[in-house]
Amino acid sequence: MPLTLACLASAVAARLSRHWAAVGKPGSSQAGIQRRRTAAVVVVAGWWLSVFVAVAPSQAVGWLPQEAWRQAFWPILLFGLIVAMRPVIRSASEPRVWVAAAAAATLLAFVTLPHGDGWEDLLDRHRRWMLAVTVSCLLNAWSFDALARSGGQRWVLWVAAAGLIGPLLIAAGAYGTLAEACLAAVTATVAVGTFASVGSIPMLCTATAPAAAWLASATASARFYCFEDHPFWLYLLVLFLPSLVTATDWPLRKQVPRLRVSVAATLCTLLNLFIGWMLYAEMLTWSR
Amino acid sequence: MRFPLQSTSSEKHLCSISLWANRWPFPAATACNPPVSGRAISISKHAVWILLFTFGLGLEATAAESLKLNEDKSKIEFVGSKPDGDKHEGGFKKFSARTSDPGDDLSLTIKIDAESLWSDNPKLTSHLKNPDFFDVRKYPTITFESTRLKQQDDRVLIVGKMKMLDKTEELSVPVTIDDGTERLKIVADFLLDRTKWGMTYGEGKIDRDVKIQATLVFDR
Repeated sequence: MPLTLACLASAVAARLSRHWAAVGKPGSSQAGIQRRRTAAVVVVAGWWLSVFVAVAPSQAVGWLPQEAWRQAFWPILLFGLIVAMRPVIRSASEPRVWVAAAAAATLLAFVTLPHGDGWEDLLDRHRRWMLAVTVSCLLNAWSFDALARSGGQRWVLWVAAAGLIGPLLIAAGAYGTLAEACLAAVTATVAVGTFASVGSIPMLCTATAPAAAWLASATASARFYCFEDHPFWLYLLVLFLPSLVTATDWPLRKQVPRLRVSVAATLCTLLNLFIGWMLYAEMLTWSR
Repeated sequence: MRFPLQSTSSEKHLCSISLWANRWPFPAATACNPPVSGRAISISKHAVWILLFTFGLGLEATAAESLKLNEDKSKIEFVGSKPDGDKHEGGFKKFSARTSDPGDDLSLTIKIDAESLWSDNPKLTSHLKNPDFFDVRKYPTITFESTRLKQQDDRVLIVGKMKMLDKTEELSVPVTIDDGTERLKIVADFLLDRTKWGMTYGEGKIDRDVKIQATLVFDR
């Protein structure tokens, strides 16, 4: 289901953005801007819907689900829509967009962290995790956008997919339903990324915005629902993996794409292997 | 609670006590006169109260000590399994239980600390504590209260209400009761359908029936 919906959203967005020439080109017609905005909304909504539908059957997700990570679906959509609108808005309004995105990221962080009866022992960690989730959302979204603008439009979603493996690994060892939702997010990102790579459709890069929000939210949720305690730096590594990869790519941005992709892929693989080793080295898994 | 003084048949003695303890359910004896002087009455009154209070406490202490859960010898464990035969063991480390003397009206109350859950795999323990299964943060206690005993063929069933995940369902537990002079032992080994309490995660991949093995030992 996530694969189907994500592919559908990608196809519709590709058709809508048929007349888009390049990102950031001034003087575009009003009709072109509207078309790009519509395409961005379709991509973000399609990505979000594919994950939402994958999770919905397991519980009544509804408007006010019980668990905090399910309630975070709505701020994720909001953040994704706000940031996705950025490529089609001229520079004069960009600061306001990022301010709005910061507000959405803060709201996401607040909603994601579980509180109430039964969570008193983890309340002292809320402050740093709220900061971590907010910064991760914004920094990763900005990093993806910077990578796409520097010529990485065809493979930026693969970096996003690699970043989503971290929360999947944490959740897989503690909370099955959350792990399934993370898997749906990875699947949706891979589906859109495939379209972006094969069809060279820049508008599809807007899916990195909800992916960045999901990465931050799911990592925090997996940590709070996990009864094992891992070092905080490990969670920070998961939260900022995409930004690390983008930072590594910055000196190489004028090199051939093949080199850039190879370096990014190698770094993503090594980091995820390291994260997996840290999480599972001494543990047996439930499924053999 | 029974009092030793109540066994005397002396109406005079009974009359004296009733005058000094108006709240007790003795027949009113307003017509009789106290047999001794005022000071002696005061001392005797206090002595009676002390005797009654001490004897009552003694009975209470005796009742509390008669059936005390032996935590070292008691256990509540479970075995979860998959259709392919894969199994995992687990249980609860902390629980309390109260019971009365066995007989026609055996009563049993068990309170389990869900957060004390353990299993043979640390990651599985973490998973079992999460909302997929026991959701221990939201529902930290599992309780069972018996309502009656039932005889089925050659087995004894303790029928009661079990509350788990904020849902109460009736449960019939086949038990073996070993009523000795020094201890009372209740052993249960049965299958429990976890989905009745809303624990539906993994249906089809994980068996819905969980094997419960409980041994409760009460010292007299």
